[in-house]
Order: sequence, then C-alpha cells, then structure tokens
Amino acid sequence: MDEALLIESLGIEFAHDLVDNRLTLFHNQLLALEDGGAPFDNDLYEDTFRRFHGVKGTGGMYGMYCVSTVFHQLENYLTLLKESDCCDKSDVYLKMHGELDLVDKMARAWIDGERDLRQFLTENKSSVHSNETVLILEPLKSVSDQIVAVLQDNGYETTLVNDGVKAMQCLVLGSFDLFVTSEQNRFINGSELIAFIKINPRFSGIKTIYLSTENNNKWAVCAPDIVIKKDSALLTTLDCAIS
Amino acid sequence: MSDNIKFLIADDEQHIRNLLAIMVNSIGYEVVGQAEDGQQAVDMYQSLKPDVLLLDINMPNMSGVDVLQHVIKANSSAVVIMLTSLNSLDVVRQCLGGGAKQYILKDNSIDNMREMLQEAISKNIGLIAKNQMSNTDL
Repeated sequence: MDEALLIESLGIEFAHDLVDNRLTLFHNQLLALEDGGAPFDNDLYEDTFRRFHGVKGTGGMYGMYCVSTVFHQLENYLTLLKESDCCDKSDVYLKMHGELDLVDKMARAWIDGERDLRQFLTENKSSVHSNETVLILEPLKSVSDQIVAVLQDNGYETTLVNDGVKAMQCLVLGSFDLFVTSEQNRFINGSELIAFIKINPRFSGIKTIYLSTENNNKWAVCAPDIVIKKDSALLTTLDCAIS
Repeated sequence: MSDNIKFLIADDEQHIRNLLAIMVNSIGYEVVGQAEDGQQAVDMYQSLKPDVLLLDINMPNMSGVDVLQHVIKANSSAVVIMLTSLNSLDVVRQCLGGGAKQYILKDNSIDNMREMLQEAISKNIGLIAKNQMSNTDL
C-alpha cells in the first residue's frame, strides 16, 4: 500500500480507538481519581498522565494537532489537580470531562474525513462568554498579555489597564461582567478596588478575580469571588475558573 | 555494512510504534523489534542487538531514562535516539548528558521526523559501523 494511504488508514484507526476505547477509559480514570479524593492515588494519577501524554504525541504524529492541543491542556489540568489547592477541584474534573467530549467530536469528525479540526476549539471556547466584558488590571505586560489571551479565547471582550486610577475610571464609566486584578498596582491596589466594587450596589453584577503573589491575606478583607495564585498554573487555573 | 541498519523501537503507544516502523522502513532500514514498555526494551536490546534504539521517555514499568542508563552501562557507544514531545526537553537534555546520541520531537509531521531521523543516522553512521563490526567480531 502507498505510504500516505497507510498512514491515513492508521490515523483513522487511531481515531476509532479514541472513540471506541480510550475516551471511555479516560472518563473512568478521572471518575476514579475524583472518587478517591485525598490523598491522591499516585499510581492512577501517573498512569492517567502517561496515557494523556501518549495520545498527545500520537495525535501530533497523525496530524491531529487540535487533539494534541486538548490533551496538552488536559495534562495541565492534571498538574493543577495535584499541585494547586486554590480552586474547586470538582470544577476542574468537570472541565476535563468536557474536554474529553470535545475530543470525541474531533475524532468522529476525523473518521468522517474532516482534516481541519480548529473549528472545534474555537466553538468550544468562544461561545462560553461571548458578549461579556472583562476589565483587567495588571501592570506587568508579560503577564497581562497571557491573561488577555486566555480571556479572549473564552469569548470575553477585554479592556486592559496598568494602574489603579485607570481601572477606577473604567469601572465608573464602563460596564463590565468581570474584573481581574493583581494586588500591587500604581495609585490604587487591587484589594481596594475589589472592596470598592463590593460595597457599591451599582457593581453588584461584576464578578471579581484576585491574582495573588504574596503569602498574605490582603485579599481576605475585600472578599473577591475567586483568588488565584500567580504561579506556574495561573493561566490554567484562570481558564478553569471562568469556564 | 552500515547500509543495513537495524532498529529497535520502544514506545508504549502502539499507534506510534506502527508509524515509526513505517517511517524507518521507508528510508530503507529494518525494524527488528518493537518494545511496549521499558523492561521489554532492555530485554529486547540485549537479545536483538539493534544498531539503533528509538526510545520513548514516558513508558510504564521502566522509563526511557532508566532504559538509557541500562543500555549505556552495557555499551557506552550504543546509538540511542530519544523520542519526546516539546514539554519534555529538560528530560532530553538529561538524556543527552547520559549518553543518548540524539533526540527527535514527536510534535512534528512524519516528513519532518523522517528528516530528523536521517540526520541523526548520518551523524552517527561511524559509530553504527563500529558497533556492527564489534558485534560481528563477537
């Protein structure tokens, strides 16, 4: 058989394997991990991670780059489950099951002859928060660019500012569904702005996310809806928190 | 003599082993065995004496890093090519320090991987020929 045809046929076999066997196994492994609670079943965790990693590599080799992208994200979620304690883990599991369902759609489309799977990623992300607006206060451009990208991927219309006064002006003059802020900002700190939002009935519809780098409880006095540590899992945690 | 190069492929993903076998065959080399975990890779390397070991890093029973240590301990001039994805590059650096001769990224098209493999073989062709002569002498 011609090599290209052989590879094509093996790729379809792989997609069938995903739909018929592996995705069910992955759902079950996640359920077992969640049911097990703490302490984590390390062997099961490692096995799940290795299997996700395997599908990521195989997907890439067969040209299913979007499947690889989703499994890369699933690896991030697994890392988040193990290393972070700053978010509701049941939300993370829910998100992971949703990602597996997305792969199911992708694999079925591949079997049906579709070779451009990007539409699935776009549909999955942007429909969640389309027509919603977010104000982001983050002074570090390297961080703010990534935060903006995650929020836009999820469908938000973003407004980015880099000091507290500009953030206050935007809040007063604009209309937002979500406010994301770091603590340390010029002129007005993040906790002060969240406190301002919380005591003003006009802003009662704004959900607040506080990005914390410090081992202190400054955020406690302003009671943000969500606190996310600014660590290596920041973007994954944020993605999960807004989904 | 080095025209007939024998490969052992070690990867826990059957789909990847199949694809790598097609790739190796397409450039005129022979796949003498396929191992699906680390322990099997060590056993098959000892019994089949391949010229090149294509070795995945994340495998059950014994990781690729451990397999590499076993193989290099037995034959310091063994030609081992690590298979990896982009986010394992730190481990790859560790493997290169531990005796692996090259690495190939899995996050690539088949054509790119084939080129990387051919380049890796070209760079190590002298070593492969030397190992083949040593095996014949034995």
